[in-house]
Amino acid sequence: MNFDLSEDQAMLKDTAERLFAQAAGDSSGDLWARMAELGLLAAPFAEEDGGLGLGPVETMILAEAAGRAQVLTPYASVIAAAGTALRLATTPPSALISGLAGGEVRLAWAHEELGMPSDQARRTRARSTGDGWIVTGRKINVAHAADAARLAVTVTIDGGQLVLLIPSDARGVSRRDYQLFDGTPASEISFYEVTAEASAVLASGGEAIVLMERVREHLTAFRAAEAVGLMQALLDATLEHLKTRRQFGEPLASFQALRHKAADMLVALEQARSMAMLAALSVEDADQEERRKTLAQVRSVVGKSCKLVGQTAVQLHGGIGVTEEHPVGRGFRQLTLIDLEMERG
Amino acid sequence: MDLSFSPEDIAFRDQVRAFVAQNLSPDTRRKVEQGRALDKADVVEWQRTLNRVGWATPSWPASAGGPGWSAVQRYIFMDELYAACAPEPLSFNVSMIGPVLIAYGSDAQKARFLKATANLDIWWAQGFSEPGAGSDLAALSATAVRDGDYYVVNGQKLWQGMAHRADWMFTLVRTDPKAAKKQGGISFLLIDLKSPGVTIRPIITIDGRHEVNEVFLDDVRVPVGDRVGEENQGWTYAKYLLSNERTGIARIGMTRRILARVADALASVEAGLTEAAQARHAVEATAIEAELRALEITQLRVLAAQQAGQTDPRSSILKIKGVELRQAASELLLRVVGPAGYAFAYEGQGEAPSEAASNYFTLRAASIYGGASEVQKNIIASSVLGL
Repeated sequence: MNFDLSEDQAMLKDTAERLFAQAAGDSSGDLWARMAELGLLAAPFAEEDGGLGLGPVETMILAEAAGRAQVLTPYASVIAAAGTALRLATTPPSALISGLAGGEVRLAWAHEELGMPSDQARRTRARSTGDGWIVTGRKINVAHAADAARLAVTVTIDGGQLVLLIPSDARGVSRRDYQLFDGTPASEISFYEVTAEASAVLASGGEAIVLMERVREHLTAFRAAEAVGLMQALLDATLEHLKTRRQFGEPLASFQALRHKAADMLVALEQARSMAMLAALSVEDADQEERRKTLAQVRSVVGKSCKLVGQTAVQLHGGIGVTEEHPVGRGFRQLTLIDLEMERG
Repeated sequence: MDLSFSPEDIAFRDQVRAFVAQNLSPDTRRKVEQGRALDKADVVEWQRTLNRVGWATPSWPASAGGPGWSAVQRYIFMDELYAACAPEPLSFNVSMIGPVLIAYGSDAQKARFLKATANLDIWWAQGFSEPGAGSDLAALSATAVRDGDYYVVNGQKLWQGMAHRADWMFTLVRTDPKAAKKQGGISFLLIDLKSPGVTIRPIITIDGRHEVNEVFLDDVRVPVGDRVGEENQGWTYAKYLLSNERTGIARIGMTRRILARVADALASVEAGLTEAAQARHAVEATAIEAELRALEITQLRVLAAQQAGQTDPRSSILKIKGVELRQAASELLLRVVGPAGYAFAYEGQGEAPSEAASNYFTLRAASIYGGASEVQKNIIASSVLGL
């Protein structure tokens, strides 16, 4: 048993932390291009598809570093979700994966629908034309869709489900852009009689259902690690505030009621950190039942921790904690979204 | 022991209910119901509608132009406003500065300000907190130096709610820096925000809204006649103001309104909840409702004590528990609304489909302002428990 990072993993952590810290300070550069240059986008993909063949622990390291710096990257949507769908398909589309890993092409994971629990068959439907499909339906909260060349779309057909790859500019696809409350650019995407060729099918039948579940699991693992980074950032900021802010002639850190709340934050963070590690170590587990149970536990613990750490960080900061310009306020919103995602599954 | 209202109180309740139903604009009602921000015009129009029948200032005595209601009538009135999704009368004017002017203002100040304050011809902002003086308000450092018939005021105030809509600000400044106790040497001034040297800077909060501000005071000349009460006695007036701010702070009706939205959202097909989640959320809503019922009775008990002329330190219970329940209800709403509520709009960017997230973020500040929960617990520990 050991929880240490290998030498390569420690280097990756260092690289990612430096990159994201820089991006947090200066948002003018193209972070995605820098991530591609450093090979971060290629991390989870097989070497024969242009990837680095790294595993979930490396993904955890990246996610945590992004959270720690509070940068919003499309990594969860493009690599952890859509990328997982490509990678784990029975016949992985090698050229597309290579484009994704190199940063030349982006995909978005178009799954969520209004009024649908995430593990149920979609309302977006496709009907067969014999040599292809015609898709009609609507997806919401598709993260980073505006920059995606293709959409990985989950649909229901007669007697089953499909995962389809549809070009974003296909006829009948329309997009309404907005932002989520954590700052992520997102879109509502409508499909009206959109034609998809047979070759657009990434997975069908039982494989499609498995693929959707695997994507959810990998998203959970990614977001859990991102949450750990965010919680660490908020705890650090809170401790700094408690040490420097003075009221009633003393630093806030001298008030026991506040010290105990800071201690509660650490307890919650460490519980979540353990679960983020467990998620990384379990997400490729071959035993589906075991994986399912573990990731449900991960969601339960991480969601609760997000809530406690986020709310407490704001409370202990007082007024400045609820301002848009303070990182703690924004971090709280990021953690709130992860909490809700964890609860929804 | 009897929980029922008298026949007179019931008649009064019916009268208020009918008036609100007839006079509240449907658009204002919709905004309040959905937890959306109100425009200045919405607030002014409603305040003046109430003022036409003398109801804009529920807590003011008849001698000061108020309705002279009993505590029970005030309670019924506010409860009806909440239930009908009507805005509260503007608290800066009605609950904060009005009672201070009535109790401590000069005759000239009363004549000049009370009617205009009731009718919202003057919109007041509160200028108490500073960057270095939050929970420790008495640490404030804005100064006022006497220069003939004027004070010259310098300093920075923080968290001024709606100051960008306001005409005047009531504020605390230090007039005697050498006073033995920091609570001494503070004076209560009224400042015309159009005065030279006043700069108002917006602060956007995590709910995406512009409600609070920073107010910079640079060599602002304030006539001595705009000081309330005695020089260096401002802390007394501020404490009086804050104790008024705390009555009715349970905001039970507001929580009930959020729970109504929870019930709607639970019944909506848009929520997309699993059966297990739906059941869990319904249980949570029931639990909040039960606590709310308890708080309502607690509030009536505090009210009865006030009616008998006693001040009751248990009002801190109302603040702590009231905020806790409002926060819990808003969090539950956010969870029930789910992905339909992830979209976010900053003020001026139009309406988001749901205000659930924005309301949840807004309410995180409720355990910070008006005496943080930690401060309220200290009050309970010392004043109620005698620790």
